[in-house]
Amino acid sequence: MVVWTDFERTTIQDIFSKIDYAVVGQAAFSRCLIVYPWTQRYFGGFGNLYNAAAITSNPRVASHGKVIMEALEKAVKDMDNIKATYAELSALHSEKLQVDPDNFMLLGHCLTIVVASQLSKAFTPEVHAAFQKFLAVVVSSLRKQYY
Amino acid sequence: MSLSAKDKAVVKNFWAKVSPKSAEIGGEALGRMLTAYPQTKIYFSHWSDLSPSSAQVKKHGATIMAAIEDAVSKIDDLTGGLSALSELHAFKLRVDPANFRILSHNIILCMGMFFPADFTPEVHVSVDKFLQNLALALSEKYR
Repeated sequence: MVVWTDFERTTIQDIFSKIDYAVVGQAAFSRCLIVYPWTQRYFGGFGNLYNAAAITSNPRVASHGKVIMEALEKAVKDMDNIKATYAELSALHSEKLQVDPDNFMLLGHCLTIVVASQLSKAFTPEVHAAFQKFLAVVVSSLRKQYY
Repeated sequence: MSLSAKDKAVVKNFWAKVSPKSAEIGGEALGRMLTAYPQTKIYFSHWSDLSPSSAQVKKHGATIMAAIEDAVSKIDDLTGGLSALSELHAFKLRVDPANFRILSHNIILCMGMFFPADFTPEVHVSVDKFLQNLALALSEKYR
């Protein structure tokens, strides 16, 4: 069972209330596809991903970025039950999408960088640590259903 | 994932911009690493203050960034250029090389925070590759 301090809970709720899911989702997801190009293997049907410019302007990338943020919001809304919340998504990623679970943290890194750029000074080391812990729990839950 | 001519040019160009803030970025990155990844604190148990505002942390962060900046100038032969530092990390400090990735992530994060307009995804990928190659050169002497 994950134990969250009051500071961690408030911080995570606060971050997600401040960010624009469409903007942050698109920025983080496109950055992931550009910086770690092997992650593109899972998005063969997304059209033009040939270079950074194409990825940045790709509408399917943008809408999928938002989908990811909305899925993260589920964890934010029920922080004591993240493992249960993601049981189905974990099975989906493992059985149907067959995503290498090491990739989850790559997206996590990109999301952290985008959030940090947005929040700037407000993204203090303590806030950063709370966000890092949240992502670690999310990733761990997504890995749960993998054999 | 070796460095192309383009990667080297991007890294040198970006580092020229970053240079004035180098010490600050180093201190901030190290402080964040110790706070967000507490397992890394074990390597600094001889310091009295491991918080991000610590003078020891800031000074050492600056030292690290200066060494990285020096590595930029030796980008065509990182293994040769970092030979002495590799020996230090391998035989004396014995830092698990997995931690190099953690520090690299924090440096990259600070770059994104300090230079949001310049640290585009294209710059990010070249810098990420550079730091990976640097980490590899730093682990050269381990075994």
